[in-house]
Formats: sequence, structure tokens, C-alpha cells
Amino acid sequence: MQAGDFHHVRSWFAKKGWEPFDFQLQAWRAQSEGRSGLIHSATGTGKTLAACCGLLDRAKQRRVDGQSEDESHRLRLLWITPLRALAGDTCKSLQEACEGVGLRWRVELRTGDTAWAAKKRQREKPPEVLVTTPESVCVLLSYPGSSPLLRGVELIVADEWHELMGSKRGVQTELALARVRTLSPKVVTWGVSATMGNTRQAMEVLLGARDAAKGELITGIKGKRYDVRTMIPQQMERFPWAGHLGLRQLPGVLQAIESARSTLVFCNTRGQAELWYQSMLKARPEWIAGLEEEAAAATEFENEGASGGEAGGETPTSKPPIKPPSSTIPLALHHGSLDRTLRLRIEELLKSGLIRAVVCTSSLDLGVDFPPVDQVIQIGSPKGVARLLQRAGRAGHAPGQVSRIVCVPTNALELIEFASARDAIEQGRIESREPMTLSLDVLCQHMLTLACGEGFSESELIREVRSTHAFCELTDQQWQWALTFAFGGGPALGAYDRFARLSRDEHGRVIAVSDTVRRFHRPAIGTIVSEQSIAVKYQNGGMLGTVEEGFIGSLTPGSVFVFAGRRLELISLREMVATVRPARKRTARVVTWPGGRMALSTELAQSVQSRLGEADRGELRGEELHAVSNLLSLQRSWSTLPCPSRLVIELVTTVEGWHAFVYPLQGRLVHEGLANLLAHRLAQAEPRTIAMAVNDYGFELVSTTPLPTDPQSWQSLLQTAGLEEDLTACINAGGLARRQFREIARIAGLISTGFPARAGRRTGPSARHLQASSELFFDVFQQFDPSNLLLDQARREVLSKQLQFTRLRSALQVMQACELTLTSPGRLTPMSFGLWADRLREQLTSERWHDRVERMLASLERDAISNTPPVPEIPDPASREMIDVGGSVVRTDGSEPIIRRRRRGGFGRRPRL
Amino acid sequence: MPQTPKTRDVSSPVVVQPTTGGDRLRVEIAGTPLWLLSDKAAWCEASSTVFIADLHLGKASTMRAGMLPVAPGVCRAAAEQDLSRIVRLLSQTNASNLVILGDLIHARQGRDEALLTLVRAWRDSSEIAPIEITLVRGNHDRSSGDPPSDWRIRCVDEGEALPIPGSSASWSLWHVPPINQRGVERFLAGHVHPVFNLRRGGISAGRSPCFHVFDSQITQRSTGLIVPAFGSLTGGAQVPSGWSERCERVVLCAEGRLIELPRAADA
Repeated sequence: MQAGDFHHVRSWFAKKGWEPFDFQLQAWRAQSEGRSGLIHSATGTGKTLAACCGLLDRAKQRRVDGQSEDESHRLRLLWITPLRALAGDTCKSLQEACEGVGLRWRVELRTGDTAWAAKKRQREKPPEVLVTTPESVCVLLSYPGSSPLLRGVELIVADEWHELMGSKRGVQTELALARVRTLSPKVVTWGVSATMGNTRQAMEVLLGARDAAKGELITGIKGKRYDVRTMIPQQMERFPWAGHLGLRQLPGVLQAIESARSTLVFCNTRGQAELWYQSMLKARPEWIAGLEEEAAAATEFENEGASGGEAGGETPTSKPPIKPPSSTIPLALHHGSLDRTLRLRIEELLKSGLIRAVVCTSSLDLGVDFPPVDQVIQIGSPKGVARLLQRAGRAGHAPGQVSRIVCVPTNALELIEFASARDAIEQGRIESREPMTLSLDVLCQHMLTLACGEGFSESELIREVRSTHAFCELTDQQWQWALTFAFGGGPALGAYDRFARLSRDEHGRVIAVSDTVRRFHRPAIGTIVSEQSIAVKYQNGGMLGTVEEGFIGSLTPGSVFVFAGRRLELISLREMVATVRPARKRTARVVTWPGGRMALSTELAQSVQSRLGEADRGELRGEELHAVSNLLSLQRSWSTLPCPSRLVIELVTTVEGWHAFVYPLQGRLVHEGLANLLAHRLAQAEPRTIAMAVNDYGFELVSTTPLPTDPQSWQSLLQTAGLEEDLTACINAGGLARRQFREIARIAGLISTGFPARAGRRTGPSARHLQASSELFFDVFQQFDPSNLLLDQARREVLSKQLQFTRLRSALQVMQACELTLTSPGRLTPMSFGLWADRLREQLTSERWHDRVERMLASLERDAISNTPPVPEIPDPASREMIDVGGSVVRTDGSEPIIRRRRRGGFGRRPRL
Repeated sequence: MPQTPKTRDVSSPVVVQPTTGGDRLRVEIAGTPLWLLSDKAAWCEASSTVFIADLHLGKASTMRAGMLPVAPGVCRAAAEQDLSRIVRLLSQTNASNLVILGDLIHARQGRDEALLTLVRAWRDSSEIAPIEITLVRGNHDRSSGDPPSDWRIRCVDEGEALPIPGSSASWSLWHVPPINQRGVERFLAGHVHPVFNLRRGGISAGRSPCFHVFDSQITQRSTGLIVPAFGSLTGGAQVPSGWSERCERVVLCAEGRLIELPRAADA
């Protein structure tokens, strides 16, 4: 039997009635020749088997040939997945593959949830296949004895590599893989990924310097068909603002759910998901049955836990007994903050086709397949082509099926985004993910991890680290600095330091000084930094999930909020646990989570630009553009339509000050950078206070003093000369770098996390005098240790990630080549309304915000219907120079303070103070 | 009625015009004059005393001892800077007494040889040697212990009275502000590290340490002053909202200037 015909796999496939795809054969062949590579294609097309069967076939063949070395038990396949939820299913299918090929291999799981005893056994008696996460691989490396374990690894597979790359988890994975390659030089690396704009680079990053050149990029099944449809609203709005239109589409969404077997309803934020779930139940009270059953099951189980009745030793945190589901559950909610057992249960029900619809967030973007799902609904713009494809792919998962997605706009401009996303899919333009480089915080953590394990030799590790893409440009100085930092901030070379965390053994290897160092470091391994979260529990212990400290901190006992699809009343907040009970009150706040807003990707922004360019030439392609034609023509008659060849700046003066609305059409992130830049340059010219708002179409600047009105001044504000210096100054002036430093400080181990705050446990009192905020560290380092490279990293990350320096510079260049049109529409226009309303939301409580926005909207609609000429604006000098102090508004010029009265009429008319 | 806008921080360049410029501000507490100094200290001219609170010396070393990677240079630089700021304050005011309102040393672990030597040298320097220094024991001092005798610091417990020459009144020295006790007059305290986040529109000007003045004659509550934390390595706690309605005053220390926040006027 010759190698390369994959007899064992083929016969298993034949038994199952399958025929290997060409790309699978291609991958197996490359594997059997000892090459590494990356397989990319849409989801659900047999990538898993493509990535592993080459190894399985070879192992079986060797066993048949009687090569005794392969009888020994050792770890051969390390399967790295970004999602714990995915790990269980991967385990199952790998087990099936092993059995199918005829290998009696053990396939085991190792994640943060794996029991301590099982982990210990895995270290002592390793399984042949280990399915794990990047963090768990690092934890494995932090134990002595990891090198014998990993020495025999023949294949590493990085699953869903697109999820990891571009983040610090990706960098962490790169470092861990480099370590495994050192321990087991003949190992090959395979990536499994969705298609990206830079798939080849993704492969090179994964494979590292050693294998990148010989890597094989394999395209899976091509030509998966997507059907992107838009739910056009019956009644079109002319003044779009975020989140407004959404719920009006509820009847259509309900109808769509009723016409399908099983539906996933994707929302962009957890808050939105809670809101839609509530609204759906309100509209279809008969669907509450499902919820009631859920709740009943939860209560039942809580009572068992509390009374300690027949359940005996069962603790309240153990898994609720899953009843054999008798009937289908109409509706469920799924998002990342819900309790894991609840989420798993919903996923189980979804897999078995017992749920009609699940309202979810990106928590279900990835992960196990749900064959029964035959429809996907996207609420709001997906903001990126890849995300839309990923979500669409959740329906019709099997090869050959059409993936259908119904897009529901939450404001009128999103209709243009849906049409543009369809264009981009047709043209095959998908976003790239930029890999991160020189993340010294991750490097410091990695050094400490290795030192806690078997230790490292400096010369060996520096070579290893430089073989990764992330650190290929690491300078000697940066290396030395990171090493010093890992040692504990003190002298790393020779000199004795009482507080050093690391030291050198007799062979010169760097090792951790004590078990205390190890005990503190292991729980801190990882690069995902989340806000301090508070567990939400019923009085009798039933766990609902977690919410961010910031939200719950704003509530007082007795407050009612919506979470996990329930109305809950806060009883008490103690030691990281919020105790709640079902609320009777009707009104409630929806939990808000920070950072919910996604930015339009470059690819989608380009498509939107070209769509607006077409519209400007009078071409309206597709029903989406026809639906917004009213909005576009009103924009044109009151101001001008922004398009790729024309930069529009609308200047409006109101009681709030002098507004400039600028529309570069580049996406939120670039606009944030541009707004900061312009505000900085304007403030340089003349001291003033500027407030700003950004969205995906443009940004607003509001100044307390007049803004320039001539095109020349605006041209010079937009020049590229001095861009980097100005942006650096912005970063230093604002809190941008300071905020970015939070993540860096945590990963680098500056913030003592103590032991993980799980289920209400918190850092013991002994560690309290060590608590310091990352902001304090930032200030202290800036003052006393300015050469600290982590500060530099924070600035670099803000510049490249947050302000998108490269994109920003090219945007400025494009804008300079544009025709600059300044208009004075005298009131808000369809395009500026959303920006204005968004900025207002930042300032006002929600009730007042809704009032004001509604009033404003009514007045604009009146103007639009009668098409009256714009009213000239006269700013009221009395309302200027106010600062906001603890709830009251006062003048800053020393005169008697003025309390801002409620303004009626708002925009478009003179204020009555 | 004043409305309470909910604001969220948005980073941006901000220019804040001070209402009360200058590096010192005279306030009266229960009728007794006191100067607030922009370098986070208070000064009583009559008793020739400078008051500071919450030095937290050795906090960086404590962190090092807890295995947080803080460079040793930081510990030294921070302590040196704080000590030289005290020297500057005393020479500016020509005061002959210094009162530290608690939390001199952060923790026992931070009380290392380097710090002891540094402070000893400072204490013996010509500017500081003639100064009389008093420490009101705070929560941190109780765990880190009284300073060594060669620092020549008199340690007293909370509630100690400091007579004011030429007046029948006296200052009451505390670490934890006795604001919930009735009738404590002219307290001086630290402990809370008050800071205030000045905002305008959606814009934040950042957190500034501040003095919190309780000079009210209307309420039955204590009168006195909470001094901001003096040490460079201290965080802060936000002044509770509603201070302006309770007739208290807040004075910010921002970039070497004192800015008094206007109180809410009676609508």
C-alpha cells in the first residue's frame, strides 16, 4: 500500500457514503508530505476532516506496517479552537474520525472548565488528541513537564484562525506555536479559516518564519451561494437615526419567523437583543409559554437546591436537570452575558430543532452547526461583509445549500449598507484582518509563563520569538526591556533583587523564583480583558448570568431592569453578586453594555461610497435605493449629497454653538480619528471647547466659537502634513492612550487580578493594598518611568487600531483630491440628523433625549412637507460658555450662574429661554 | 430645577477657563481663615502650619514586594518628588509646623531600607530639621506602624486639637472625615482622596484632585475640610453628586491652579 492514496480514510468515507472533496485530498497530500498550510472556505464544508485525516491515515498505515514506535501513548494532534463552546463538538467529530479510520486513540478536551484532576491526568498520561484553547495551551506550558508532553506532537490545527488573528489572542497563539515547534521540530501546522481579504498573510502569520514560504494555501468548496434579502419598511423615514426604525419592522420579522422552521435572529448588541426579545414576547404573548417553562424549570431547580430535598448533594450551581423536551419552545434569548448552562441548553435545543427562533448576538456567530436552522435574520447593518457571510452561513450549513439571510434595517441609511454588502459579496471583496505586531505585553506574559514551566534559555527563546510574525522585528533593546519587566521591573542581569519574580538556575535558564509566582501567574494567563463583571443571581442561588459593574453600579436596590429576557428587581449588591427577584413593575431599564457599536469596514464603506456615487448620478439600483430615494432627494435639495468625488461640509449655527457636519464616508473608526484631529487643529488655532459625534457616514464638531466658513481653511485643516505629530498630540491630550493602557497593564501583569473572581469570590483582603488602577500606573509611568515601553505600545495601539492611522492618512489624501462643498442648510439635514441625535444621547438621560429628538423630528418633517426655506439661525450669546457641573449648568466667566431651562422647539427656531 | 444630564466621557482636547485663578485661595471654615494651596495642601497662617494628607510613601515598593513589575527607580523617584514638594511648600509659606493627616507610609512591606534612608536624610536636611512634624494616625499607619524615632515625627490619634494662636478656636485633626458625626467644628481630614471629573457637554476634562469644604452654617453637620491626597501614587474617589445642593464647596487643583466650582444657584 503506497502512501498518498489514503486507503484508510477513503474506506471510512465509502462506508459513510461520502466522496472526498478535491480540497480534502489536496490537504491530506500536503500533510503526508510534511507540509503546513491553511484551508479556507465557507463554514460547514468539511474543513475539519480536511485538516486531520492526513495524519490519521498515516498513523493507521504505520500501525498496519507494524512500526512499533507508534504504539506508545503520546500526544500527536493538538487542536486549538478559539471557542470553548466549539470544543465539545470538535471532540466528538475527531473521535468519530479516529474510530472511522480504525485508530483506538483517546480524544480529550482541555479548557478552563476541565476539572483539575482530569488536567493532571492529561499531563501524566496524555491522550493522542487534545482539543484546547490558546489560553489552555499557555497554561499547559506553565507547568513543568510540558516538554515531554509536547515533544511528540505531529500536527497542530488552529481552528477558526480568522477569529484569533488580528487580536492579542492571535499573538499569544503564535508564541505558543513557536514553543511547540521548538519542542517538536517535525510538527506541521494547519489552519482552518473563513475566507478573508488577506488569507495568504493569515497563513504566513500562523505558520511562522520556518514554514511560511513552503505553506500550502488550499481553497475549500467555492461558489457557496448567498441570498441576501432586505425587509423594506412600509413607511420610509426621512431623518434616520440609530435604533429608531428597528422595532417598526417587528410584524415583518414575526411573520418571517412564523414562515420558517427555525430562525436565528442576529442583533449587533446584547442590549438590542434584550429589547427585541421583550418586544417579540409582547407582540406574541402565546410565545411566552417557552419562557415560562424555562423559568419554571429554573425555579424548580432552585427550590431543589435551596431545600436540599431529593437532589441530595446537588449544589445550586450544578447543571439544571434537562427535561426531555416534550414540545417545541417558541422563542429564546442567547448572548454572551447569560449563564453558560442556560446558553448550552438553548444550543442543545437549537441543534435538535426544538426552538422556533433564537434572538442572539455574535455569541452564535461561530460554533457548532445547527442543521435545523433554515433562516437567518440580521437586525441592523452587519457593518462588515465577512460578518454578514458568517451569519448567513448559519442557515443552510450543508454544502450545496443556499444560505439565506433577511436583513432588517434599524434606520434608513442601513438600506444602502445592505445593498452595498450585496455588491461586495458579488465582487468577492471581503475584509482583511491585520495581524498585531510587537505586543510587548503578551511577550512579557509569555516569558513569565515559560519561566513558571520549564524555564527558558534566553538565546533560544529570542530566536523562537523572532520566528513569529508578531515579533519578527523585535529589537534587542525591546527584548531586554521585556525581560527586565518580566523579572519584576528591576535589574535582570546579575544584580540581586529582593523582589525579582524570576531568576537563573545553575544552567543559566530563566525560571520562576517560587511557587507563589506560579500560583499568581497561572490564573492571569490570557489576553481577553473584560470589564469587572457582577454575577446576577436569584435569592435562592439560581444563576442568571453576568453584567458589567458599570451598569449595576448605576442602580439602587428596588430598581427594575431587563436581563436574560426577564424583568428583575435588584434586591442587593454585595461582593460581586447582584441578588434579584422577578419584578412586578412594568417599566424597566435595559442593561447596557459598553463598546456595543461596530464600525463600518473599509470594504463596506467603499461599496457604500460607490452606491452614493451612483445615486448622485441619478442611478438608483435595486429596491433598497428606491426606498431611500426620498431621503436622498431631500438631502440634495437642502444641502448636497456626499459621494466619493465630493466632500460635503454642512455648517449650521444653533443655540448649542457652531456645528460642522463633515461626511468623508469612511466608517466610524476613521471618522473618530478625523474628528479628534480636526478638533485638535481647531483648538490649536484658537482656544475653544469642541464636542463631537461620529457615525459611519461622517462626524459633527460643535464649537463654542465660530468655525471657519471658507473652503481654504477647511482644506488646510485636512492637510496630511504634520498628521502623525497632531495625532500623537491628540492621543496625549485625550484619555485615549490611558484607556488603551488598561488592557496592556492587565496582560503584562501589572494589575493584580488575584484569583479569578468566579461566582462571587473576590480578591482576598491581603491583596487589597496592591490594588491600583491602570490609570494610576499610566500616570506614574509617564512621570517617573517615561521610557517604559508599555506606554509606547499603548500609543502605538491607539494610533494603529483605534485611530486607524494608515486608513486615516489615505482618507485624508482622498479627501484632498475631492471637490470640497460647503453648504449652510440652516437646519439639520437627513444626513446630519443622526449625528446630532447621537451626540445628544451622550448628554441627556434617555427620556429627555427621546422628547427632544421627537420634537426636532416633527419640526423637520413639517419643513420637509411644506419645503419652507431654511430659517436663519441666530445663536444666543447667553447660552455660551457654560460648563456642566454635577448636574447644573453654569457660566465660566464668573458672572452669576445660569441654570439651563428646558428648551422647547430646539433646533430650527430661536430659543425661548 | 437643575436638570441632571447623564454624561459619558468623550476624549478630546479641552480648554477649561478657571473661575478663580492663582495658586492659593482663602476660605473660612466656621469663621476661621485657612489658605488652600494648589499643591494639594492647606495652610493656617495664624498657627504657621501646613496640612497635608495621604502621602502613601513606599506604595511603589509595596507593589514590587507584591510581585508587580514596577521599576525600582519609580519608587525612589516618586518618594523624592513628594518630599521635595513638602520642602517647597514649607519655604513658600515659611511655616514652622507640618501636620500629616494620616497615611504616611502605605504598608509595612513598603518600609524598606531605601525609604528609611531617604526620609532620614530629608528630615536632617537644613530646611526640614527645624520643622515640627505631627502625624495623625490613619488606617494605613495602624498596619504599617509608627515611623521610626529618628524621623522625629510626633504621632497623635484622631480627634487631636490644634490650638490657633490669637483665637479661642482650634483645628480638630482627623484622618477619616468625621462628617457623619454631629458638631465637630473645624475638622481637617484626608483619607478619601477626593477627585472631581469636570465635564462639559459630552467632554471630560479629566479627573482633578480637589478640596472638599464643609463650611455650612445651615445644616447641623460638622464643618471642616477634606484635603486631597498628597502622594504621587494615589488614586481618587469621586466627590458624591449632590454636594452643591448640600451647600458644600469643591475646589479643584488643576495644573497648578485652584478652580472653585460654582454651586448650584437657587432656581
